[in-house]
Amino acid sequence: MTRSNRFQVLAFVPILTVLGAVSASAAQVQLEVSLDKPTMLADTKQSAFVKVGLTGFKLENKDKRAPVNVAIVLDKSGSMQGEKIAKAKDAAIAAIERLEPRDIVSVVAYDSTVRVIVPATKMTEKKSVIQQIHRIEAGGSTALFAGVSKGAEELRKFLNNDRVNRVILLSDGLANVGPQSPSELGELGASLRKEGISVSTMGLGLDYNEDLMTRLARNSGGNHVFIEQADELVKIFNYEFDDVLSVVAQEVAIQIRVADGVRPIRVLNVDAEINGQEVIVQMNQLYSEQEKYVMLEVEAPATHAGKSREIAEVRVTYANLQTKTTDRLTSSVSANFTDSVSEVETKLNATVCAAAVLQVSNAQNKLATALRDQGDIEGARKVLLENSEYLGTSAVKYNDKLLQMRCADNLDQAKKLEGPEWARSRKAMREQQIADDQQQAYGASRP
Amino acid sequence: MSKKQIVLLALLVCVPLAALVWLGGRLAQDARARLRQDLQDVLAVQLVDANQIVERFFQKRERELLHVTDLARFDAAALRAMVRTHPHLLQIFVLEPDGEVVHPPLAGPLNQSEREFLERARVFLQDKDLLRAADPRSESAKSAFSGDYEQTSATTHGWYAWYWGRGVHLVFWRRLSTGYIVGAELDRSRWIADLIAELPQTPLSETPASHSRIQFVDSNDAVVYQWGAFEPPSGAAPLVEQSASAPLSAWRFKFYVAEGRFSALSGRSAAFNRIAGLSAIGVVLLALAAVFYRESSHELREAATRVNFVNQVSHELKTPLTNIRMYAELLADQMQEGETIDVDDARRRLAIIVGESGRLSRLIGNVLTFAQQQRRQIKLNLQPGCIDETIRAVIQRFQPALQAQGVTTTFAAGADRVVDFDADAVEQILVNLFSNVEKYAAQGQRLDLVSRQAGERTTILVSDAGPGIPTTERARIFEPFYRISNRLEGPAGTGIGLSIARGLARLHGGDLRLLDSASGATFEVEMHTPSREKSPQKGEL
Repeated sequence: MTRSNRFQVLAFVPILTVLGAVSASAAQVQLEVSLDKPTMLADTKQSAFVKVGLTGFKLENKDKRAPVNVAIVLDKSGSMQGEKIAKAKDAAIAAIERLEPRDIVSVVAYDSTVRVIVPATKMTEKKSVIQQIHRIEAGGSTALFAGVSKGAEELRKFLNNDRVNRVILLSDGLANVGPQSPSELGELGASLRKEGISVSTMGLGLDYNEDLMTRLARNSGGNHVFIEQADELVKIFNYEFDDVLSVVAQEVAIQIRVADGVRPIRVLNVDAEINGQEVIVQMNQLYSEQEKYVMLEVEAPATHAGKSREIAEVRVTYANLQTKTTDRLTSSVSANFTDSVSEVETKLNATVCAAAVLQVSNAQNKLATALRDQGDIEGARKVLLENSEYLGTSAVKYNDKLLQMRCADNLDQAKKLEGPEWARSRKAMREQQIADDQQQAYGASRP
Repeated sequence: MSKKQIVLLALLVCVPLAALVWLGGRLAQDARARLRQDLQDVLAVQLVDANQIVERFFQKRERELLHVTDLARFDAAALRAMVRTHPHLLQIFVLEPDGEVVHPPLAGPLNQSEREFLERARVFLQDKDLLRAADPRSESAKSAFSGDYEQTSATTHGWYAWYWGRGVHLVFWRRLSTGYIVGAELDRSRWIADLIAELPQTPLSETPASHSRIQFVDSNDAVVYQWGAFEPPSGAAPLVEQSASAPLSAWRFKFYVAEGRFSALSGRSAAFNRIAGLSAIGVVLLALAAVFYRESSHELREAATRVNFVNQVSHELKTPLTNIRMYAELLADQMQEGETIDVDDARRRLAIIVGESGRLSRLIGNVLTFAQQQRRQIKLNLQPGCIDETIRAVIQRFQPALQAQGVTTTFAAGADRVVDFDADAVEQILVNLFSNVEKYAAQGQRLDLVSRQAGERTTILVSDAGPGIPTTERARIFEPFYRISNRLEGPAGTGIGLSIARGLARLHGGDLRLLDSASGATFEVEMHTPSREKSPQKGEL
């Protein structure tokens, strides 16, 4: 803690005493349920977006952060030889240097087979851990599935919901030993999430399978990043650890009860379980001062002007890593109905609208990828160009920088659907898609 | 040695050797097969260990799932919550005793994963395949379809394996007392991942496992997981294979071992002993062949030497005979033609005839002595006398021939005591040495003789100033028939002179040696010569 920080804390002491109740609730995740159109047009069936936003509370003090339980799983296959493995080791070591004695780390390296280089160890043994990492040498095939399996097993030795449990997977190639399809890795990711383990995946270079890496990360609630140059590894590992070290809540269960008469259509950005009127979403982690949201599209029934209708009620439970309690939050959102089109326009919630646009365009971006995969280059281009235009208009309308950036991204992607540029562009698209899906804090495509 | 003999000898050695090698190879092969079998047994144990991990894993899952599927109510929300939180569950379903689906609720609402489940599980739900498997009265309930273990006659639970997409998918079913069947579809990726987590890893340090590789392969022979640092070459056959236990009976473990490691494991000493034994026999055979070859070539060489000897002797005899005949014929011619015979001339011719006859008889004497020596029949005839006198007599005899070649003879006499010795033997020794000087060392133009006596021993030194004897030949000049040069056109010789001389010297209780000298050659004759005065004689008694 710096001297100025300490001064600030002292200065705020009287205020904190007065606002005792407030400060207790400050260590709570903020739940905000809002509509893109808080006021809707009357007497017509219409779709609307419900944004369920969760913002992690501020981690007041670095010492108060939750201890972490991290498994670093490194690809040491033949293709990693040379600079890549050297940089990967540097990055892992630099990241480990940031950990404290209460943290736990394990290091797993895989090629054709798996070696547990450092079994789950308290960070009191930092030096020997670093020594072991130095010894890793590259060579062999890519048993990615087995690497993740063993990494997860190391986490399980100290699996605890007071800790941030994360596998950090680095790979530069196609998995070619053991299960290797995106769906199998995705399934594994989903299963690990149920245990509170998330897997952040780092794709290095242009030869890894981005579908596999994004599915694994997305289904487990981890980050994904496309790293074109090994030089960036140290920086990215640091970003990832920034994230891991700022987790304030986990095991987040969101239950959205859509009001009778209102129909849930789809959840745009995350995998949700929709059982009739009930929508259930599981999130692994919330970070200090970061918002994660669920974008739910609903269909509201025709309602007379002047009336108000409840759209959804939301219940959230999560493990608070600061207080070590399971906290519950509830909130609901209602819409007003009016005959005036202009009133609907003026009452629009620009933030929610921008987020909805981002998610809709993201879904379109995924569609473009799928079309391109089927060989329909023209179709993909058309979708991307329309998307870019949609984003551009919306960016102006809602004055949103991220939309502005995505407008340019989509336009750029429309030009890179063919030739040697496609491989790189596809990886960037996948990275962008998952980053937008889960509001990832870092990554090459963030503003 | 003739080619034929060499070929025969080679065959004699090679055939048994080849037979031995073949036999050794067969033995080694047999031993290797036996060893391979032993090794396979040892490795099979390791695979059994690995398979036990699989068995224990599914037993553990089974206990868990027995708990999970022990349901009193089939509340959709509760079942969904279970699926949501249980890491191993992909889906839970409930069937009525007659196979109708209770959960997921077909009447809806269904979520997406439930819809997907009903789609993929149609095979065993609509066709009632699982129901038949779970029917306690059915045969298939006891078949390998469901788990073999923990099955009693009244089967209430088990595994059902069905194939779609990427391979085997596992369902654990349980028949409740009410007749309802609760099924749990396992997350395939997850149980694979958990099995991998339980199975060994590749060790960090060098261990026996560093030289082997165990693969866990699925029903399509694709590697699911593997450990051990050894990378088997593509297409290599595993040393041992073993099927995994139910419900994964279509999966197998394969054990690969580095070939080098395999032979290293194979008890190096046994192989070494066998090889050592074989090589010992081989060496003995080769040694016998070498001895045989040497013996036979030695005999051949000896025969050749004898032939050479006969040639030399004939040549030797021919020269004096020719001279004798020529001079005798000249004399006879002169007498027949009645010419006046020049007495001096005749005397000279007669002297030549006498000299040449002497040479002939010496030669023949030499050959006879040699023959006697070979048969060990020589006996000395010891008579009292003075050795110096014998020496002088021989010098006298050789004087004309030596003088003719310009050789000056000196004699430092020092053996004038009366001793017992064989004058003929001494004479023969000296004649042989002198004639060597005459034949080979005349160019040195010197012959120096020294004689001395000390106690009962008499020594005579014979030195010349000729070309000497090359160091390499020194050892062999005393061998019979050996001549430094065997050419007929050189000085005539039989090659037995020095051999005879040495034999006689040794018979006389001494030896004949070639002494080191700066130039020329110096021979030392040493003899045992007991003094007359000191040893009383029989005759005088």
